[in-house]
Amino acid sequence: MKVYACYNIKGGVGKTTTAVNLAYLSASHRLRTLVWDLDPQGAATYIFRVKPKMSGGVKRLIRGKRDPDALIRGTDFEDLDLLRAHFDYRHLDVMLSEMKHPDDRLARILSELSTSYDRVFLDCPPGITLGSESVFGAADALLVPTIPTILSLRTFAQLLDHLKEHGPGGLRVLPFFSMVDRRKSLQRTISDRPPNGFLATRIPYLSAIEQMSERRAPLPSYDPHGPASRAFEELREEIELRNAAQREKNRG
Amino acid sequence: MSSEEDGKRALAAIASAFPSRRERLHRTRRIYLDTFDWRLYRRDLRLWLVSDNGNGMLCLECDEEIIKERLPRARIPEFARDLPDGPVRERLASVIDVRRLLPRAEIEDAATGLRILDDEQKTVARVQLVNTSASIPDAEKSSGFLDPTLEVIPVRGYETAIQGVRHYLEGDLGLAPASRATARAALELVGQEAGMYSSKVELPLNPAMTAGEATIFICSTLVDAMEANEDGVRRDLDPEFLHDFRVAGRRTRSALALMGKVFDREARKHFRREFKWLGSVTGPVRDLDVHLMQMDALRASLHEEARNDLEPLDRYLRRHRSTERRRLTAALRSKRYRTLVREWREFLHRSRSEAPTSATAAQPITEFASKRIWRAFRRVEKRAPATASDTPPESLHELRIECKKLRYLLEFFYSLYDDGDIGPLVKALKRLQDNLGDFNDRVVQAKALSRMAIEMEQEGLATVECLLAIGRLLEKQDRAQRNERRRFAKCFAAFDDAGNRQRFARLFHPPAGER
Repeated sequence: MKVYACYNIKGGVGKTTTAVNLAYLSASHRLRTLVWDLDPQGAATYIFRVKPKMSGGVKRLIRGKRDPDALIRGTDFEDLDLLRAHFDYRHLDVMLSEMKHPDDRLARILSELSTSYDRVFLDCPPGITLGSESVFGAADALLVPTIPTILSLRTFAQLLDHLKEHGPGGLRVLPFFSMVDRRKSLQRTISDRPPNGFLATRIPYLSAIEQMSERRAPLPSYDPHGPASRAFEELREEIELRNAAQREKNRG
Repeated sequence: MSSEEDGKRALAAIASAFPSRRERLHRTRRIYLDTFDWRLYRRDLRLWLVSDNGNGMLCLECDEEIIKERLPRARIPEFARDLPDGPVRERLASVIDVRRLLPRAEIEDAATGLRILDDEQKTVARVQLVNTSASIPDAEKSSGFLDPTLEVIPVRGYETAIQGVRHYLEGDLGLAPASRATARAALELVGQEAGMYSSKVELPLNPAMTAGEATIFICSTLVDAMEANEDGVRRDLDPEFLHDFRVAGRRTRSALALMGKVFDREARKHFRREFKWLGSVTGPVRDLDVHLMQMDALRASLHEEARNDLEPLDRYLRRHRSTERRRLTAALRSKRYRTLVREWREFLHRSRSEAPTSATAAQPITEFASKRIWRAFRRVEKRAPATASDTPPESLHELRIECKKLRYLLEFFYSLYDDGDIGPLVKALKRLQDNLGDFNDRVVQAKALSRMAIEMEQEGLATVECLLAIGRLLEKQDRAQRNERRRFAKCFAAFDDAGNRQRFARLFHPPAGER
């Protein structure tokens, strides 16, 4: 099982669309895939038309006293399941702060699911909190959608600094440009010369992606050949390639 | 459900009773894979290759559990080594061994149906009308259709939703939902009986038979086994086809030698000569197959840095194998081979309908069998001096042949005796044979390696590294050979102990009064 966290300190950068679309594409390649919607706003849950849970149970789940299986819902798509959002995730930090070893809580819950899924995509809320520390502890890689602006790059640098000092070893950071608006010259300049470590795939700014929340379905499920769907598939392939390359390296 | 019309009517009724959306026709193809001798089926394992929109997936059903694994390409894996690294391969590699996976049946499901929706328009259940057709790959037989099934499929976390649909189907429409066709149903449909062929030849003899009848039955079964493997030998599917083909031929020769007196002398001489010829034209490829299968073990016995040194030997073996393969296929196409099979079958058929030609043939089979087995056992015992550690390998070879004859007889007539009596004797003999076989393999392999080294040199294939590696292997062989040799005396003593001798005597040579 590989765990990918769609994460950024900033909000509104395309985390949810990345998680939903990559998860859909993974499942369509017959990888058993789970989306865990950790954002109390529940955007991913909404897109999959699942009703979010409003109260109860999260604390017991986080404490490891509740079987995550019971909270999982099948989506409309084969091999793609959802651990739905819960309004109580807004208190995730408080809950974690009351526990021992808060940073490996999510990892423990996920380890129970490791034989059921090949890929897990975490849709994370923004910010650096105790919740995100727990995400860092659970993920194999952070997928960081980044808008090609100076401020976004600065935030990304902050994230790297933070991880260098406090992050767990072995966590890979895979940033890529998201919501790239080619009409803006600064965005063009930045995204054409990406800093080191950025993935080559860029996700364009397209209204088709915004419409996902209206259609309430992953984009490639209703527009499989459009430019945005193609970009997400390219992104998925690039991430899987990195993943395989890393595995080779570990083996050698 | 009896017809597709009923199914369509049921779908329409559900569509009007539940908020739902139609789904497009969806086809999935499942290929049922197994070896020629049904190794998976016999162990209650079912391996499917599912292709769906160009994606390939392996599904292994075992112990109520289904292991699914993606295939990078929707290509049929042919050998264990073609299976992706993972749990399916782990489970199957030792079962499949060197055999080839063959597509045994192909099943296509064409599903049309409905998604049942909740108030968020989310799918909470699916109802599918599935039409299943099945066929045997490569066969000219046309495919058949199973009765369509109506499936109600739950969505995880919404299990309660299917209850309403089920209730409606059963109560209001009077229909029973079913699940997809099983492998067995599909195989039955195409008329291929799963598990029909086994490389272990079963010979259920009837104690009321005469020696002649039993011998004819045994020989007919063996020629069936030969012919069952012929196509696989021709197409070179895997080494076991040729092996089983040869074993059936060798057993036929042994049957002619050991029980041949039931037939007339001329016929016996003729067929023995012809089967001997068949053994000799199929031998070289088998020898090379054995060498090729041993390559991995040979490589592994060398130092890590020397493992690639044997590549010229591998090339040599493959080159010679393809030459010998051409000779083998020519022999199987030859008039001599076709005549042999035809005449042998005709001869057996004729003998069956004729009255016994000799007193031997008219004997009751039980008496005949016991006499033969006893005689063969005595002959093995007479070779006992060969167990001394200074006897030349040739006498051990002769002992090996006598053991083989005894083994064949025990197997031919196994069904005439009580399993608990004859079983342990076969097992004890097998242990001795394994030891003798290992010793013989080493002698043969050492001789072959020396010979091949010289031929490789002559053919310009040899490298210095390869010859050095072969030299090292020969030393190892020599040591291993001596070890087997030392173990041998003990193995023989364990077989020829008082207990076994008594058992043989009691079963096959009871005192005159009790006979």
